[in-house]
Amino acid sequence: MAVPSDRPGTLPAAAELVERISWLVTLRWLAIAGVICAATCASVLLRMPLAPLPIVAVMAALALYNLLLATVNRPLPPPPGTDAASRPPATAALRVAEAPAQLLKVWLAIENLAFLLAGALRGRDGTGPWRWRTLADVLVPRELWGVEREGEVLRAATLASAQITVDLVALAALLHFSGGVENPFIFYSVFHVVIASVLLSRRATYLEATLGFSLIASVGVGELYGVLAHYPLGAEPVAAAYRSATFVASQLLVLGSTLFLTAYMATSIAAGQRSYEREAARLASEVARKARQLETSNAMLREAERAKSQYMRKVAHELKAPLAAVQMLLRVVLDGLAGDLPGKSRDLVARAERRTRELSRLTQDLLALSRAREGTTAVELVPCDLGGLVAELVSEMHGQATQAGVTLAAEVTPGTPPLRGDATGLRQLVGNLVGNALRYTPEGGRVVIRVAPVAAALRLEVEDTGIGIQAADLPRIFEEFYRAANARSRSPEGTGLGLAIVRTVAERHGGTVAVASEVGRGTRFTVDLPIERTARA
Amino acid sequence: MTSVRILVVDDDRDLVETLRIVLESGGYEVAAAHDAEAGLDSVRSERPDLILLDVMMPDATEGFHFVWRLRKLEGEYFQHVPVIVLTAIHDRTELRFYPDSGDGTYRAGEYLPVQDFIDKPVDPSALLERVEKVLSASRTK
Repeated sequence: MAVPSDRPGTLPAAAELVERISWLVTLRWLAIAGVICAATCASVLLRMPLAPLPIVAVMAALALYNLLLATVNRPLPPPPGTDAASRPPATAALRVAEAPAQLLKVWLAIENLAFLLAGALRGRDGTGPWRWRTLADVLVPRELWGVEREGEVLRAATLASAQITVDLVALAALLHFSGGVENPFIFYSVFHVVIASVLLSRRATYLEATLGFSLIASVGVGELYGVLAHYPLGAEPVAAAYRSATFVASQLLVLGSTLFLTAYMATSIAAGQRSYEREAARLASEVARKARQLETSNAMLREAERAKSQYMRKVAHELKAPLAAVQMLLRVVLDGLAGDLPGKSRDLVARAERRTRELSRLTQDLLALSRAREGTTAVELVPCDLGGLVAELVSEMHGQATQAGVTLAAEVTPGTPPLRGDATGLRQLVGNLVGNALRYTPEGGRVVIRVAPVAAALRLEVEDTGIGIQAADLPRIFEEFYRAANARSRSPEGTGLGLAIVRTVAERHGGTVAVASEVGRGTRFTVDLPIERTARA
Repeated sequence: MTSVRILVVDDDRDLVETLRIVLESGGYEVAAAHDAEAGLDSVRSERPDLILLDVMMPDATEGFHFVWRLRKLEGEYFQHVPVIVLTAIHDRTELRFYPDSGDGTYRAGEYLPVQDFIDKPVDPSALLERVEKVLSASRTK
């Protein structure tokens, strides 16, 4: 069968046509063996008065022809562009082997001309303007027109038609030497028509059917009128049938109708099959083309996303230094280091400082997010001790927890292996989850951080007894700038980027984030990070 | 006892001014330099007790180079004068590693030989606290 290819125009039927030529040669060997067997049985066992010499002569000619075909029926030549060195060298032996091929070419040329003339004689197509037909128009099935490697298809069709023609001549000769139209094997010509319909165009099939019928009719009519000698199959009265015009006419009528009906049915079925295959091939190549298009636009989208991230990162970075300066200036004023402030002014500066702090946090989060998105291009991967990182964060956030009246505890399974990853990103991931837990847990609550190996991953759990998340909000909390209503009312500050950073960092490490929550009871975030996998670009 | 002198190296003049107010409110004497070159000159001539250094000065690595050039200067003082790095990076892990340098002044992956990192912005009181901590640590050495 054809090698699957996404190039348009390739068709399984085309390659099959090329392959079936060698199948014809095999079939012919079987036929030769069959005829010799049948003839031997008929003459030895049934004592039929067969003429052995002519039959053997026809078979020998056919065998010679078959040998000749075997030399030209090599596998398909390599497609153009392949290494010339891989081709076998032209040795003297090969050149000798080429000689019959040259002979065959001459025969093919004659045959092609005959076909072209016969095909052209049948006149215009019915559709479109009148034009001279090419050999391909006559021989190659319409469904295979314009396919890839059209030249090979035409060559295969030419070879096939030549073989069928020779076979029909051989059959007619055999029949002549074995009883003529009395021989029931005249109906074996149906096989040739079926093979033609599979391999050749509708037009060529009818031409072959006509040829087969004409040859056998010539034998029958020739013997009837004594133009040709009759080689009897057996004794009278059967052996006299060839002399009966009624018998010859009825045999030929049945044979002709069988041949042409077969040609009609078989070509219809074959054409339908080929159209179906061509459509399937077209669809397959269309699918492949669309897939490539999708891939390209995906790559462009990724590149655009990366550029956007980079831009965001640059902007945030530029904003950061002046923001830090403004904030420090305001702090200095607020702390009275630049002199006392009247009450109202102090309040206003305090508000300005608070808003600046919010803005500063937003730029920080935007930076973190773009950094996580750009992935490993800007990030160094190092072995990270997640347990140690959690312990460090817990001690850093202890003050914040005490202030909120919340117990903060870490449970790290001893011997937790290190994780190759982006230390900064992981720190932001854990920091954001713990920060959220503290922010949304009322006084007297408890926040627990757990780190434990689970299969080939490290599992980080941050569980709180906080206000919880509404089920309707759960699918959206990882979106950028999304904040749940109860979160907004509890803490007006917050950028809505924290969980987006968590998810981006986790995904960059090939990990996942899951959340389970019950309003009024608490929330648990579960982050699974594979140990072996490194963060991807 | 003479007052403690602190050198602020930062190209952001507003920030230098702010730091000066904060540090002077803590009773320190403040000198300022606006780039690494002036900073090194100032270190040589004035021998401050502590250096507050902005690590992301114009080309983003000037601060790193400042530290390396300082530590390579001849003399015990330059090896030990405490340096506090002011950063807007908000992330120490990235500061532990140096940007690549082709001039052989340092090896990639080495830790920056400084005493502390402070993220900008910083509360005046927090800044004073950190400065005092680093100074007392350097005195006991």
